[in-house]
Amino acid sequence: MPQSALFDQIAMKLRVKADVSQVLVSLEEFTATFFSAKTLQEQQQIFNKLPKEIAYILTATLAKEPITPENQITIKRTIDELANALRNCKNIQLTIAFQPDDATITLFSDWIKKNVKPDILIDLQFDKSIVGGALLIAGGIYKDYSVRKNLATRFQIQRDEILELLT
Amino acid sequence: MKTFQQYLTATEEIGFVEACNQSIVYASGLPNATIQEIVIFETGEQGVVLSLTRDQVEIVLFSKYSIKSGMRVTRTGIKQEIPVGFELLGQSINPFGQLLNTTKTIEQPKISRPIDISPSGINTRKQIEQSFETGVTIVDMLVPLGKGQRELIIGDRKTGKTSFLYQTILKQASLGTICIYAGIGKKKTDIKKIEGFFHKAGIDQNTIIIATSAEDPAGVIYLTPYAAMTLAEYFRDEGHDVLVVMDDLFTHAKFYREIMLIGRRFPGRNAYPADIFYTHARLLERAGNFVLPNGSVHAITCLPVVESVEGDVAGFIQTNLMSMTDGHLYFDVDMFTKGNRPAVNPFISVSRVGRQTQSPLRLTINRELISFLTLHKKLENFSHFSAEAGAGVKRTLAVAERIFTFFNQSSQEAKNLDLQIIIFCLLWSDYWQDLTKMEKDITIINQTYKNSLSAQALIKELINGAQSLNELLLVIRKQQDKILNALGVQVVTVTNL
Repeated sequence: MPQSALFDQIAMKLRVKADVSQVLVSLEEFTATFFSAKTLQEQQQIFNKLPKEIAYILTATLAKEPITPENQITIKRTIDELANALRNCKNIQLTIAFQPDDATITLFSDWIKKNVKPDILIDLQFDKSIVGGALLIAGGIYKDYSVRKNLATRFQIQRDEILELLT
Repeated sequence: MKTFQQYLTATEEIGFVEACNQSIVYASGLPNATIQEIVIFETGEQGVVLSLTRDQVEIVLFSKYSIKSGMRVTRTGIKQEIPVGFELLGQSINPFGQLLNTTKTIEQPKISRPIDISPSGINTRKQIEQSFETGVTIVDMLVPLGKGQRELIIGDRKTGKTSFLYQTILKQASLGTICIYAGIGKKKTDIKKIEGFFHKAGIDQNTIIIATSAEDPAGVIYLTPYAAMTLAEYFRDEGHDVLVVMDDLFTHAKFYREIMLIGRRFPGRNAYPADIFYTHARLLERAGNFVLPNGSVHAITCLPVVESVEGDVAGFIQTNLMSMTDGHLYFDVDMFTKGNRPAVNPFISVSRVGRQTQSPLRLTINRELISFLTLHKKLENFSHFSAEAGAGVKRTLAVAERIFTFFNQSSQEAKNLDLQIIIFCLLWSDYWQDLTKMEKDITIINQTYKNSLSAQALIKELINGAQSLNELLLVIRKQQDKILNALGVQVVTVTNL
């Protein structure tokens, strides 16, 4: 299978930056088994640690093209290229004020993949001090849509009125 | 300066440190960063954008403290600037305008100017027409300078370059010129010494020291002469003549080389980067004689210093600087060991524009002296055979000895130009035969001239009244006793018995 098609399939299923690290570790473990006497099943078990959908893509691809002494170098090269492509995946750093659950992460990821680009990942950060809203960093651009900033601006503009209310 | 967070909110651009190599940092992000823009790190450290690549920004650090990988950095949208104003007179500052003495506080200047700008165009410049007094006899007489000239000071270590600079600053500050001393990567004790000298001489209200010590980051040391030139431009625009001393550009070149080699630039001759000539030329090109928009003419005279090694003036940086200045004063180690102070070698020194500023009288003296000293140099070889030498040769050697004694002066002393001419005329008319008496008389004359207004007026009258050297010599011979009495010298009249 060509590396680009495999990358597109996997990238669509990756949600956050941490997922990429997990896939990279598994791919490294997998290529290390090439010159050992492991069976196909044993090799495929390596991918069981990954999210189900990604593990399925990888095992299905391997099943189509079993590893033999003749083609293992070609397969290794494809996997290395895939790993490189995954490493170079662009990401959007998203800082929010709460620890999101799995469904929320999927919601964020799906929106980005649909509206921005399918191979973009989320680098999710958690910071209580922003109170609410979000901070976005992508391609060196910084956008502060946090409640903290809104409050600070509001305090600057309506400082006297707020002080009056408090006293 | 605002905080990192304030700049981040204002510019909405962020970068992350990817790699750091001594004073060079590579950061990703900052999509709209521009060359020479100041950037600020989340720890408050600052740096300047040196170059831009497709994915990264190359930054030169202004901090001694190391930057860690992953740190956040943001743009400030401002170029390198230095606060400028009359408040800085008498102060010692760094290239960012901060006082070196942190215990002192002064009123902060309200205006800032960019440190590194393009030199003014040809339409703002004027031919050098005014003479520039250094207060050093040998230079004023043999290698005269003009206001707005760039004269390289070149010589080995410990040959009296700094003393000459002190004398020139002393003279110029006393004439009302604003003097800026740029100490590049100097020892802290040296900076203190200069401060002390200015204070002791009472000229600190007309001087500014802008200095960096050897322990400062290379990026800051590199900025020193540019910041000094920015200050000079401010005072010029305010209607003052300015003298900028850059001590020294050889050190500057070495620090620039360090930055560029760390920045992986291809090394050229002596491992200097390819643009080392441009780096110095665009700095020195900012000096000159300028016509301001109001029509007044003000000059930035620049004295860059460069050190030679073992008398070799053909070094890479040395020859570069020679070609971009309007002449050079060479401090000769051999003359220094012979006891000449200052040890300026008039035969190797050059002034390309200074002579055009001289009055006809000074020009004649200059020509007479040069041709005489050239003749003396040829005859010097015969001095070993003094017994066999003819009367003419003996006389030439004796006069030359007197001339070199006349050129000798202490490092704390700056002489007046008119006085120099009168003493020369007395010497030229063979008034002195005895060297000891001559030295003694010159000391008395200097002292009297300093304190007596009538002596100053007399000398001024004599010089203004003379059209040529011969005329002046004639007047001096006729009125010798009167002049010497006015200058405090006791005249011994020998009568024939």
